[in-house]
Amino acid sequence: MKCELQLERSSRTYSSGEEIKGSLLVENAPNGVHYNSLSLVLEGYIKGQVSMKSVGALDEILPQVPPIIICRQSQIAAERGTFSSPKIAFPFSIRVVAQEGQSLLETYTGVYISIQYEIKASFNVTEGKNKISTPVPIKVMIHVPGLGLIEGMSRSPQVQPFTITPTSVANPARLVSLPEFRIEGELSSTLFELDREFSGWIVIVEATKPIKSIDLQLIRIESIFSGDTGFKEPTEVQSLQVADGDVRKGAKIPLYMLFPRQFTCPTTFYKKFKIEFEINLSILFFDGYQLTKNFPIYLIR
Amino acid sequence: MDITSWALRKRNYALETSKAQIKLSAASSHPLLGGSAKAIVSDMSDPLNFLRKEKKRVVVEEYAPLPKDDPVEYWNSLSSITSKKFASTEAFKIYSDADDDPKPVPQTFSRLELLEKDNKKKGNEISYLSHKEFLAHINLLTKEMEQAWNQNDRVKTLKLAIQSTKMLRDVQTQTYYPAVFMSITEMLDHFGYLVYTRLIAIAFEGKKDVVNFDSNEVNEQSKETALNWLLKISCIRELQPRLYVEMSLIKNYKFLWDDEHSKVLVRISQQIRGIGSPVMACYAGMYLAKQVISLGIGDKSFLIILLEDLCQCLIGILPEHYELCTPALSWIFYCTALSSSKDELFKLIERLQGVIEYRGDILRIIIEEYPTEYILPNVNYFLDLISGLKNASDRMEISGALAKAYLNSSIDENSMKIINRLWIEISENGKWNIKVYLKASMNFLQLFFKKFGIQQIDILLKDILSHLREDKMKKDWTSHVSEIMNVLISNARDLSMLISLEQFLPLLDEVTPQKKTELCNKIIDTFAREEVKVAISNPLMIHALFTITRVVHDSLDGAESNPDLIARVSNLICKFVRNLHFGNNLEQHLTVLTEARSSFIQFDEVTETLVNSVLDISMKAHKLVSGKHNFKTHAFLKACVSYAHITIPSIDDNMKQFKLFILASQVALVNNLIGEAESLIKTAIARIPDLAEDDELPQVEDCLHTLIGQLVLLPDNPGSSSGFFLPAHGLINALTSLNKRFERLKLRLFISILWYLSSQTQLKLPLKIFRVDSNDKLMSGNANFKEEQLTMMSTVIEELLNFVTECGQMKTIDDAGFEVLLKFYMVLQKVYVCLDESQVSILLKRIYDICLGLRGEAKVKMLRVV
Amino acid sequence: MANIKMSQFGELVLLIGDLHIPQRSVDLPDKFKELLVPGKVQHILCTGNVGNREHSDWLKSLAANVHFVRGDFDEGTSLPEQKLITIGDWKLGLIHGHQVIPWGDKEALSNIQRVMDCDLLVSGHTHSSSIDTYDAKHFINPGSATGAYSPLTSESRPSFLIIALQGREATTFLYELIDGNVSVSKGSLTKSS
Repeated sequence: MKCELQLERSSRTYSSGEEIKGSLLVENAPNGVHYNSLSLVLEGYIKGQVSMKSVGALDEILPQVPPIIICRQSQIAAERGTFSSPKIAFPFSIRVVAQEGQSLLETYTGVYISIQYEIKASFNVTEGKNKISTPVPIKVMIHVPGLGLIEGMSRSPQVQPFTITPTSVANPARLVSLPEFRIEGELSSTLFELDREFSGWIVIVEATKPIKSIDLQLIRIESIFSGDTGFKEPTEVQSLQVADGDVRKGAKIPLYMLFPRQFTCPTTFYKKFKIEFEINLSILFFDGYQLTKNFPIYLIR
Repeated sequence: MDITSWALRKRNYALETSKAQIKLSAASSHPLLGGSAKAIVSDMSDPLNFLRKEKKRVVVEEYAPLPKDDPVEYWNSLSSITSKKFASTEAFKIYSDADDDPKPVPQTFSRLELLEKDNKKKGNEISYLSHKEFLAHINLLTKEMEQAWNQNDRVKTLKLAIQSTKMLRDVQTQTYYPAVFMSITEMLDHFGYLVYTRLIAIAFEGKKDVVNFDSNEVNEQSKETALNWLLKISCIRELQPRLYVEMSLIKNYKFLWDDEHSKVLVRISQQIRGIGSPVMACYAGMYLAKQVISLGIGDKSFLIILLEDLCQCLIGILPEHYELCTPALSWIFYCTALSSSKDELFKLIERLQGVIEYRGDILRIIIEEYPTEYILPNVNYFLDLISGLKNASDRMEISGALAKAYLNSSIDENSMKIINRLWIEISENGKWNIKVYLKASMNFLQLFFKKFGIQQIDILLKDILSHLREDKMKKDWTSHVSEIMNVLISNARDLSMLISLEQFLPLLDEVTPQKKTELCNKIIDTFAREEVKVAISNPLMIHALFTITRVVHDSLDGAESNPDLIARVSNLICKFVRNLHFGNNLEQHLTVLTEARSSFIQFDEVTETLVNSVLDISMKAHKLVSGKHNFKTHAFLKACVSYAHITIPSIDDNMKQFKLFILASQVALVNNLIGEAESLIKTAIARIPDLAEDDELPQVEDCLHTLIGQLVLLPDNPGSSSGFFLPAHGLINALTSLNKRFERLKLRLFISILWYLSSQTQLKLPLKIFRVDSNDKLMSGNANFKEEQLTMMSTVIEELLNFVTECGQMKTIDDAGFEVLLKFYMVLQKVYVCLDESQVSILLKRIYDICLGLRGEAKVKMLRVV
Repeated sequence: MANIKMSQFGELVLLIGDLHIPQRSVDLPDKFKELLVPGKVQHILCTGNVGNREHSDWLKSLAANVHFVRGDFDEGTSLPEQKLITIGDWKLGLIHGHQVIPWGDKEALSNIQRVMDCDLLVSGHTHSSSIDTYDAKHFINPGSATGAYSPLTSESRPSFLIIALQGREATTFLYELIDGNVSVSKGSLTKSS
């Protein structure tokens, strides 16, 4: 006997307030055998976690914050009954809504913070040897429109131009070996919708030394507070090369990046948790000299 | 045998012949009537036609235009040309991923990132691959990828695709880049195909042949899958692998939307700006343009932007790097040209104006890739552009391209003027860069071949030659000259006209000796293949052919080790000799043959052909004067025969010598050169011991019979003091002194001699050569002659009678011996009588009995008939 | 169609030889080549001295049964000196003819005919066509198909022959090129008993 949770939507992605429709599919069901009621639960939580990578010193500083359940919806999808055919589907429908006193957050997998939504089923068949193991819980992706937007903030993009010159570089220690350069560019906004791309452009107006690579780095900053202590750690989500080699002066090179699903979410301040994002633009010269320009960005849904 | 006095039966050959003749009447119908060969027989079943078909020129047109009607064909030919041009057998450097066993990867985190880190680690190993090894490697990768795909291992499939694009990034030897690009994009295409067909299967429930669909016709699952692939590749760290893999999956977007492709294409074309190497950027652009074509997108405005970007990059780069970019540029311009309007072309040129000033060659590519209907009507515009260019090479290249544009259009007076102007452009600038000048003139040569006469070609060649001579530096342009020669040879409709051009041979002298031999071989080969019936008579042509043939001939000096080559070349020379034709000017023909004899001394076959030719013209002379030679033609004939007599001994092969002596003597006799004929016959007879020595005598026995037949007509000198039948005496002596193993052969020839002797004192011979008096006329009533004839007869018969006696003691006899008996019997019976008839009868009876005893009734029945 | 034609004329035998290509001539006359195409005759008797390989191959392509004998200028001794071919009621002897001295002599030919015991002897060599009956036996010389020069003259007329055998009857068709045109003349022979 096989027992499996299935969702209608193959993307398994739902917005807040939507109904998650699916069914519990039973195959090779033993004819005439009784089953107890089928109950389902959608559970969402936010928790701090110790990543494999952070074992060691970080482990100790990491504040012990208990997970917060932000969503728990349960329902009985089927009453007690008897299997009458070998293949049977029990449909269900659960609405995505927050627990009282909590609000919905988006699914996110970070290094130290994780926000997950899961549908679990409990289904008991007790007769004889035909004991069903509980079906594997199924993860869903939850989107929460409007999330990330702070009150008073405009959705409309505000272009963020930048110029990098030796004088604007905040690292005077290596000033001696700095090449002459002038780099211009802009980010098309300060805030980005998650299902649109990150965009902008960069131009090497001038550079006396050849460029080896220009890279765009997406950084997340995860913070966890516990009482007076706090923890804040930036980690890389992904890094994309936008220029490979000594590009032509004056060429408008696009900065383009898709926000990876699951590893990004709207900029989040929630109770003791904080998830923020930044872009690092780094220009690496052939001689090994590297310039990095940092841009905080807001991610919104 | 004691018969001592033989006599001959009187023959009346003429009467015998006339009585025997069958009456013929005109036939109104006959078996071969009905339909000409063409109507009945297809080309295939007519062997002669078939032969001619096969011999048709199969010249690889190295300079032929590429097939531009179909993008796929054009791509394929670009691909093969590019691979050939830029990939030598020399090994090139490439980073390798030697050990790439898939490692267990944690589920949650980006597996790709991890894979990339793996690759980075190994990136330091450099391996050297030859192009062949590289192709094998790519093949292996493709197979591995296909295997992974079939096992549903999508991560590995993608990983392998990415890995291939990394090789593109890691080619350390730039000249290999185009060839590597071609192979890798082929693998990527395959990857794209695998993904796309899977998506189609998901979207249309297993159907595979859906071609046209809207994004709203496909199900959510296929959309989701298509998007997932795109998201997966969007996080490939390195720029080029990310771009290439995305381009290979460009069709995935068809599942997401219908009209936003151009947004993606514009973005990718702009991202290509991030590729610092102009060569790599051009090829990335080339792949993008190809993917656009396969998507069937009409709007190609972004390609224009792409081109602008790329061209900007090309301004300052090294010429050898630019050269690497040209196939990519050609392709992108070609794609832009598809479904482009004339206005768009001019807008494009305007936008590229700034670049063209520095890289005029881009204008050349534009002219080559855009339809000539856009170019030629506005040719003045292009002429203005050319005159605006500072670089002489660019001016020449573009002029050459414009000339090429005229290849497929009709030429009027105005275009003549323009072509002239273009040529002047090239001619005047040639001194600045002779290689470019030569390249551009190839276009003109092709145009001139197609549109103008051979004389105009000569004018071009003259100009080329004067440029070459003015070039004091003698830079390395010989390979270009040989390319020009190749163009000439491949394009010429009439090769003989071409080589007769005044400038042809001098130009040929400008290439390296090795190339020269190669080209001469090619010319002669082409000549031979054409199955030339064209008479070779023009003195210039003959001189040219001589020069060319001699180059080939001399190149074989000491090449004994290659009999195939020698056979081929000597064959070609023979063909050339045979095709010489001077109409009635036979003296000139003889002069040329004399020259040929001194030029081509190496090969027996050639010498043989020369002798055959000289005999052939002798007979032509005979025909011309209808056998009535005058003083002049007589002298000519003497010269011909003496040519033959002198030349034949230089043939190595004794047998060939012998046969040619016989043939020459025949020709001499027909032409009333009796002394010469006799002398040739004597020379031939003198060869008999040598032939016997070489055991070649049986092979020439036929010719010896012919020789005896020839003696029938050869007159003796009535006033001779040294007697008559001198050649026959010589022959008999030669045969008698032969080794015993030639006994049968000797006897057979003796029987022929008996036939010959029997004819010599008849009133009238059965044969007559016009204006040649044979012995029937000369020796009529000459008692000495008759006496000598009978003496000789007796000698010969004596020999044969000895044989009969021998046979009488034998129990069995060989076939040849038996045949001699039969023939001897019959010649006696038919022709000879004895003063005492009964003695002959007794003799015949005796031979008959011996024959009967040896072989039985059935084998001798024919002897009884008479 | 072809079969009807055959039965109309009987068994067709092409007699041809002394081409001497390329030594003495370039090629057969075009008009002959137009006539001589595959499938027209069943047998070919070639008197030899074809010249090159290409043209003996061509002859072999014209009919199923092709017979060659050795001419005085043929290379090697691989071809037989003479050949006896039986077609229907007819025994045909084939020989080049240079062995016949004096060339074309009826008595000499008749001797060969007797030794071979044939009804009709085909020989060439003289480059001059003839059809004779001598001592009740038949003698045919197809001449030279290219009109190559002979030891007797430069003016030889291109010719070949076809004999159509029907029972004991034979019709000869002599094809000659006269002033650039093919002229065909007909004669008839009867096999003697």
